[in-house]
Amino acid sequence: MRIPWFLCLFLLCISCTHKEAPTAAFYYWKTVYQPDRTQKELLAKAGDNNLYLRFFDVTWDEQLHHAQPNAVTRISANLKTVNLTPVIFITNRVFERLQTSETDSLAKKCSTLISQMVSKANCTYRAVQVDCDWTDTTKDKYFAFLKAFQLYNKHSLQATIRLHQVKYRERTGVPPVNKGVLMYYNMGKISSGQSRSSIFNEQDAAKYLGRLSTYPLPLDVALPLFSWVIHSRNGKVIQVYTQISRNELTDSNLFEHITSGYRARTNFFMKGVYIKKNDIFKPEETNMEVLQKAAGQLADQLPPLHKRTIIYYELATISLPEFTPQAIHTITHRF
Amino acid sequence: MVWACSDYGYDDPSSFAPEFFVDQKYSPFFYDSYNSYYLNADTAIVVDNIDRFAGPMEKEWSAYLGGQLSAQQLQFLLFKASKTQIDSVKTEVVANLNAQGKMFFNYLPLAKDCEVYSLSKPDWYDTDHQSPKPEPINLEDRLNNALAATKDPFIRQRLWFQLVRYQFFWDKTGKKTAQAFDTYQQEFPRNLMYYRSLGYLAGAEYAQKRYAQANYHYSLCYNYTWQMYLPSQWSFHPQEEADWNETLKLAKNPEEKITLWHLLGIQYDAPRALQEIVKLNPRSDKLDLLLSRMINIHELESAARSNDVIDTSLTEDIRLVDRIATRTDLAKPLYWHLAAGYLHYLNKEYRAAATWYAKAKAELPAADIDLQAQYKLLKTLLDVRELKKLDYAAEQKLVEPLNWLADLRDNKKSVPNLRFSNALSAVTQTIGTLYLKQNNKLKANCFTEVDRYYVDSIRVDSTEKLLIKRVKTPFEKVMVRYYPLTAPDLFYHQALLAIYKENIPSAMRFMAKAPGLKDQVLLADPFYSRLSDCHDCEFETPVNKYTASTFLQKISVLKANLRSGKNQYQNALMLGGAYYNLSHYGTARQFFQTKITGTYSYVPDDYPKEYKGLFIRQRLAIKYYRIALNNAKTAEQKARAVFLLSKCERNTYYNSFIGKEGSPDEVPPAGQWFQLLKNKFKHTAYYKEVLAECGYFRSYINAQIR
Repeated sequence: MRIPWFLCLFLLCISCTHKEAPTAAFYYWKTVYQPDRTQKELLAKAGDNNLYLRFFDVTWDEQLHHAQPNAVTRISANLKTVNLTPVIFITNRVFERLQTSETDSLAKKCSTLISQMVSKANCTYRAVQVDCDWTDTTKDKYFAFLKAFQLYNKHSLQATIRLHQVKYRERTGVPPVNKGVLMYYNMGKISSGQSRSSIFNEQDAAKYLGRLSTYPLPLDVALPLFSWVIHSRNGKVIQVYTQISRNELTDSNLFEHITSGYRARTNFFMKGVYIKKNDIFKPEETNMEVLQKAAGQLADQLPPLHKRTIIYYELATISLPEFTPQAIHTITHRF
Repeated sequence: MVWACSDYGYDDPSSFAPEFFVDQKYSPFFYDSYNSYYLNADTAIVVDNIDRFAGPMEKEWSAYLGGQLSAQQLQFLLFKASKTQIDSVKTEVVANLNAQGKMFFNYLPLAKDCEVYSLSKPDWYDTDHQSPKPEPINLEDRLNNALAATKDPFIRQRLWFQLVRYQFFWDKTGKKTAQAFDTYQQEFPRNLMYYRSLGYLAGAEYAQKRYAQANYHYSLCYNYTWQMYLPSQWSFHPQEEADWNETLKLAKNPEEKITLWHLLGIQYDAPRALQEIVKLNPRSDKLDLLLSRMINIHELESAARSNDVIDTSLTEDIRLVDRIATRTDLAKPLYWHLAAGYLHYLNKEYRAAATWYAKAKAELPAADIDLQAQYKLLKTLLDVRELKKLDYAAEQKLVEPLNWLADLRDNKKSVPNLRFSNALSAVTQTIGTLYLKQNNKLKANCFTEVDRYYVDSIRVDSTEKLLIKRVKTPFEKVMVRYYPLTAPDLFYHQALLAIYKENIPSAMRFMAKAPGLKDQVLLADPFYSRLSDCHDCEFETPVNKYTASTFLQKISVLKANLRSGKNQYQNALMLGGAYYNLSHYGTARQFFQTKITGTYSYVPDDYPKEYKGLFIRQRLAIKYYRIALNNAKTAEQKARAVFLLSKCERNTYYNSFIGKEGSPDEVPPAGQWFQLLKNKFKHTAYYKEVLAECGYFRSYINAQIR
């Protein structure tokens, strides 16, 4: 059979740009790993059982002057059926305070603790991800830690990358890991006064995307599925909550609806939070529209990568019922 | 330059010390904007979750055993020994012990088994992080059997405590803790052991979401002893207004209610709590802590707030404190009056502040140095803030308080816990600003940093005169105490500026008047023009050592040589090197980074704006390198001068980005001098050196850059 020449050209084109389809995954960031039925179902259907599970934090003990594991996750569900990537979160403070000579022993301890937890859960894992919002002043120690970690743990190593670390890479450096995970959320200043969302907004994101295509690490992507409420007092942000949503704020006995959100009418406790008269609550919500925008904007800028993983944050605090497996599938395949 | 810095310990913008008004036992809760708990040597023990009760426990056992075991033996057995160690001690001493002693040794192994799960710190080497630990075998039965078999009330209460705690850790239903607590609680005295058990009951209630009961029980623990303050306060967490109201209803008497409000006040809402407690008992010492926290929080917020923002909560809280402070039935009227005055001060209501302070002054106990100092500090802050003009009379009045503050700063006087550092800077800042308004820059600059003060030589001269004046007035003495620099610092600065103006004789004259500074040894040879800018390499091998003074003398000689036409290439090259090194890119930063120009500049943008141009410009280096080039005899000499000029050209390119948007290209453009070097000097040995050393030049040769 003769194939018309233009069709040949077309076939040639798709074969040369062919890359394997992206996969989806979920973070799980609670201190007890105990997903309910809906979460398990979503993980299986939308995320092919790819789970990035926070194992523990590493924080700095100001009294004892050492780094220590904190909020170690209790694993109360079977991990054998998932494709596991343990995640550890290290506060930047740790590297501000740690001596360079101590990075090696910290790496060893982290690796040992991961092994212990994995062996207790009787499961295997594919890679390790380290999450740390390092800065130019801590990069040397953080990178020394990452290098040392790879001597103790032979699994592939990933590090989270924030947008400012992409833009200012000369200053903040590129971490010595196998892969980066671009965190495509928490980009604006958390503030009650601004109308744009600090979880995701196109304008703030755009400022950082210019140099994305030349970032020297292969990049997976982390996208938000959460919403939160920002609590501020006298113009100062106090806290953000995922346990409070717009629903609770619409009680007009307690809150007055104003342009920038909801203003408390009196002093009271709600969901374990103490609220004072005139406190402002501003909901920031992530929905499919926001997610579509984020995915569209980012997919255009990322260099191609085979089987890129899109990790959704996070399984236990998904805010809306509209995030169905089908919806998440649609987003994933924009990459 | 650092004027009055806050290097005296306390970082918060605070001038009000809770230590002078609130019982020391509340000190972990003194407000600290950075740490959850305000720690000092006295409170360290309360914060340690494991050692907190060690002292009281040891005392109770010691009394029970009637001195059969020494303090050392007891400490070892209670807090350090393992079960095996206990066994071996027991074998040795048991024969000499009475019934109590024997019971102690029977109880210990059981207690140690309980500590496996109850005393644990997060630890890297703890193989089981997924607490709770594996459930101990038969422990519940062993505890119940021991309780059934033991008659001694002291031991029984401890077994009961262990049982309640065991259920707190292991009972999944949440009911058994309450059961264990209720079954036996009637028979025991309301002592520390009882309240510790109650704390575990509260924990179990909290886990079952019975928040009203849990928080009420925590408050009872809190109220029992200061040793339980921390764990109780830490655990106290109402969830909804409804459960909080229910907790209040559980209170059996006003004191219990006061404790509940006090707990709410510490963490959530001091004003609301103050209002409620005053209604119940205006003399309660549980008011004291809340008032101090409220003040310390307002101090921090006032400092962070911009002038045009009105803090309605401050105004409301002032109204509340005014109301309370006017009462005649308070336990500490002085505290309330000072507090009211100070809050008005924070709200810029100076007349009201003065009225309250006047009341406080009349109540000050003459012998109390702390309170006298606290009053004086607040009054000084107010007096300075109220100054409209600084004339002779005002200056005379300021002599005493300013000397007092300076004495505190210089450790000539000591009032422990007095928070004076912020007041010190507030006072000097205000005085400086007032003098500036009066256009007296000399006086202003003694108290606060006046912008661009040192670029004006007349101003510098006048400060020098003040510093070296033999007989000073009392206020002049004060000014000098607050002025951070010495006369030699100023002479050195004038010498420095003269060097960049190429007025070397004047520079030498000033330098001669800067003892100490003129003799500082430069880290590298300041005349050497290195191929690559490597400061550390230079510092490692200083061939010729110069002091600031001999450096200047040598510049003078080189200039004279140049003028007389002697060895012009070499002299110009060295002068070029000197001025290159006197720029940001060279090796003599130590020479020009001073207390005035700033000693911590690592990048050009860190230099004060009035000196930035001086320190980054390449003009003088270029001038002398060009003279060297024009007088070079050999191709080698020319190649060297051309390359050194190319460095200046590149630095000029970098300079064009300083303080502007955008950043220079990673590889800067080649420029005229690279071109010349490439085209004319390929055959020289220096060219090969450059090629080996300079990656940019290599890239240029390989045509990767233009």
